[in-house]
Amino acid sequence: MKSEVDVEASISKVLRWGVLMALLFLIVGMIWQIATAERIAIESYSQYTPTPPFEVWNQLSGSGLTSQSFLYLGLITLLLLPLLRVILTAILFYWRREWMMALAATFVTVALIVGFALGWTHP
Amino acid sequence: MFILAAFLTAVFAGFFGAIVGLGGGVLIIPMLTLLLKVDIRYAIAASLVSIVASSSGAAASYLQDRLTNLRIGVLLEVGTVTGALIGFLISGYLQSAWLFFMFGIFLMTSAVLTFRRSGDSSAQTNHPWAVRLNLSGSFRDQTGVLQAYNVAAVPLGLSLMFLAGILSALLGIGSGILKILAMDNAMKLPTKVSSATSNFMIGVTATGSAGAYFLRGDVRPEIVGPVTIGIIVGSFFGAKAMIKLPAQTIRKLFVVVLLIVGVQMMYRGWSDL
Repeated sequence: MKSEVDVEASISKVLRWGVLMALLFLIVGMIWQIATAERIAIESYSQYTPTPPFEVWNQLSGSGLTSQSFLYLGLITLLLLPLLRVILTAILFYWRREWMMALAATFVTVALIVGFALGWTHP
Repeated sequence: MFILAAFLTAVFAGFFGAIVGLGGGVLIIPMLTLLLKVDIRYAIAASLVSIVASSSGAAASYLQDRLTNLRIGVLLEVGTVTGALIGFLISGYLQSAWLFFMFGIFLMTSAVLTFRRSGDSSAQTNHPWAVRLNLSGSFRDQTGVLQAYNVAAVPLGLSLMFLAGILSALLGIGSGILKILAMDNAMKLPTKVSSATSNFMIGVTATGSAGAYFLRGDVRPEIVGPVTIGIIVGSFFGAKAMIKLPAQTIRKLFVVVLLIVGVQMMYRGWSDL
């Protein structure tokens, strides 16, 4: 039977492809922005005006694919990969009947989900 | 214009971060805020996402090197991720000026800690939690001999990880330097194991707060895109250049830079009050 580190390394190798895909989305989004002359002045981000993704989603809906669609797709993929990793780690420990370690990994999974929820509910 | 400037800034930060082993976040936040006038909250969120990308991409390598202790990593993530959530909640009540102050202090502390190299001190016995969770492990040293190690003070290690998580979320850093210190000095792990395990954990820690910042609306893709790609490109070349460059000289130079930038960040905080 493979050691738990070997299984985890295999999981991480698969997730590395996910990271590459996310980076590809980000690069496409960036190039699109530059190519369509969506010029952004250097001082555009000196004022803090939070823009939740749901607002962006509402603005984008109906306007088809834009550079923002690719950028957000890349971001969402990137942020979901570690969540996927801890879920798979929890499953790995449950499968091996390592209850305490499975509990730790489950706690981390739940905490990450709570993190997303906090961002949603704490503007 | 902004995208190119942010990209070049991130390449620079990633390059020097990799050479001195502090990661790109330590430099990218001062550079984005002081040079490109980006609001510190956007800079912190962008840095965290770039940490998630770098760490998730490299996790397989950290595991394959057989130095990472997966069980310790997963257990300590309980502390770091909980800390990250608390850090996110605290950030909502802090003015930008205080974030600049805290970052300045962090930079100056990092400058001092960069030179602090404690020798390995091993634990004679395992902490009861380490026995229960089977945390002890072994690794091959440079001569190929298998070295077994025990794990001490697990509750203290978890508490320190909680603090590291808070700082990570508040300042947009990986907190690697704190994690390694906690594992080395409190839990008595060999330095190589501490470094590898810390690198493995950094991405999950950063996700705890990056996800929250993303849904709050602090993550601006126009900043995150060039910063993430730039740091990855810069770190790649930095890691290659590190072998050829005089690391000690660069490290000394970097300490001076950290001190100067630390003072500038604190001055900026003072001006914003």
